[in-house]
Amino acid sequence: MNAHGDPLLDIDGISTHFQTASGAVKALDDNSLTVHEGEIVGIVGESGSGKSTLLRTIMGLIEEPGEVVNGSIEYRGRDLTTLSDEELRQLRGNDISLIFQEPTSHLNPAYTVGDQITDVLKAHTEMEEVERWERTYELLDLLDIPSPEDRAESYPHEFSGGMAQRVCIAMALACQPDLLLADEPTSALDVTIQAQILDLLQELQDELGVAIVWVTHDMGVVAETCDTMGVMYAGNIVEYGDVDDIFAEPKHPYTEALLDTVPSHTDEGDRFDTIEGSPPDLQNLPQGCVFQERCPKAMESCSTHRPPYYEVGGDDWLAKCLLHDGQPTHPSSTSAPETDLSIDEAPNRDETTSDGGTVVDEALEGKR
Amino acid sequence: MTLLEVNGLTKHFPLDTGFLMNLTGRDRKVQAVNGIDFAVEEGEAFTLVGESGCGKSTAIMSALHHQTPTAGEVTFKGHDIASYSKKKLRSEAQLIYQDQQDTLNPKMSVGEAIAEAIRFHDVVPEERVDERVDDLLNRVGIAPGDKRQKPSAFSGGQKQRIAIARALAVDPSLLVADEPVSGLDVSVQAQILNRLMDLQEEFGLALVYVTHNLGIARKISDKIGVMYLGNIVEYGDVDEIFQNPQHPYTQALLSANPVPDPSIDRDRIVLEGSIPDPIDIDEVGCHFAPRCPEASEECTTSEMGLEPFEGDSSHQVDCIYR
Repeated sequence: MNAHGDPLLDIDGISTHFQTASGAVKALDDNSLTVHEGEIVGIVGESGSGKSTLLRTIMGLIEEPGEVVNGSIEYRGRDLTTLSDEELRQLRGNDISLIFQEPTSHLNPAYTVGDQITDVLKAHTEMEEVERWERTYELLDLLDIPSPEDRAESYPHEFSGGMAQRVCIAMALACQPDLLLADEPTSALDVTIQAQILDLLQELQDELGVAIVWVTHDMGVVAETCDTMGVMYAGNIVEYGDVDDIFAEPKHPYTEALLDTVPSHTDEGDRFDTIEGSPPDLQNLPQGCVFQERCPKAMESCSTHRPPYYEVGGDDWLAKCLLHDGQPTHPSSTSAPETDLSIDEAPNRDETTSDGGTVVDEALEGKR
Repeated sequence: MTLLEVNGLTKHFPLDTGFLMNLTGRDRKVQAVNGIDFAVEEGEAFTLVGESGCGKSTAIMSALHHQTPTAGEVTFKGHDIASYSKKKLRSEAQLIYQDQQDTLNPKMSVGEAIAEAIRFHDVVPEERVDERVDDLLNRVGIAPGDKRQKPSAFSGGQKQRIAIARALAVDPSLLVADEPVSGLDVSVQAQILNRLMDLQEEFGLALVYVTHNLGIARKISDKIGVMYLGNIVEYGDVDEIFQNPQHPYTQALLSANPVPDPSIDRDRIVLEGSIPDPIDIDEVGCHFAPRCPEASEECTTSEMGLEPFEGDSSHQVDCIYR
């Protein structure tokens, strides 16, 4: 089914909760996702949906009071959730590396970028000093940074945002990882600079075959860059599949609503599509589906049954929505409904009111 | 009728001041805005778009004399804007910003904050102030029962609604919104922008919107100005410019902006380099020339200005090749 290689990272039923005095915050709740070798996977969702927690969970960077309470993350057959700190440290940088939204806050202002890249090489490889510097120049050149030998002597503040992000990518690629986790790497950049970085990452991906998990809130970036995508809502990857398929025919009502809300400069018309209401409190998730309160297609059963992953188009297009009850459930699902549900139950609510009409609905927006 | 007319507006910030200037003899300036023209009709929505540092916020701040412009003429309702008292101007032109955290007093309930604006500008007699506060909150989609809450009790989207209510409280004829929804999620953005457009119509407001988001600019505006390094490089009807961009910068900007539709296969025009610092840039020639894929020798020497494209004054371009 997939044009890319073998599975590289297999996330299965992962849940990460943060224990607080007033109860557990379910930042991630039963999520499954497979990343194949050389694939670019986009993770989209609004703020607080768990995108960054997902990346941190993969990297083993969840700290107290957070805890991975369930599930497994297999990377080339090893379950990352069972590795020791030392084993994880070896894996990070060598096999899996991370780039962030704010490049300058992840570079040390007191050292030249050359020092910082060679440090990574020193920690993770057996290279001699001369080799390390040669590799550094090579990396800076790969990232289209002009006159690498001079620029390696520069400090982070001497780089613009776009250039600093290139340095971070160079550092992340230093040990030729197989998997790059990118947390909104272009969100802080202007669109013309973002275009440069997008082009570059795509070229690198072609050239080096590195798989990328790309967290973003920008549907445009996903549409133009990613092969597959996961859509997150309230700690759940509610839909996962091929980018073209999902954009053409979203199978989860949230995906559909989210795609509609994104204003595109190619659209005419002067209204914005909205999703009424606001996401649920992660400390107090409703029984049943997390999206039921805002879902235009919600049924009676949605308030009682937590939907499992249904295979909505082969085994690599999954949606957590009871509308697809009757389709095979994905083996990773830990929360199969106890009883059979019939699809043709009557919706329990009317069409959502169009925007601009009632005040009450919109007043629900935002957590209080 | 033209509400706001701006001609040759220029704003430079001195970089070397006082002691340092005496010491070094240097006199450098940040040329944030370099002689721009635009006009906003009554009830019209005009958007300034551009990337960070292009001068879009400075342009509107100096047009409204929140910062004194270095040069240029601005008329508001046909009178020189400098002839307005500060109070009078604030009652005519209101501003909302990106981060409402900074503009709402954390110690004051939101109802009091709105009432204060109404009282200061004597919009309605004292006995009708409460009624007006409730009405405004209702219109922006906040339950009037919540007016005794402090700003901290509200989400980012709700604070922005409250800021809109407070801006409308004084019955202005112009609302300036500087990236008002940039920090918010798309679904919340959409709710607020729809509401803003409804209110604009209800109140007969002119709107000046400042944003880097081209998707929002397209939907919200009647007219846009595309800014690059302190100049408006393309100006006119929004649909015309988005469908038929003429300036090489506008073309690159539109092509660089990702479209949320994977079935469209587009070629991005990727510009080399980044926007230079607007410090002591050449007075003559096109500021975009160093990054422009079409630039020639002539571009660095010719005098420029917005000219109607193919004789159509609703679409103006600042490029010698158009």
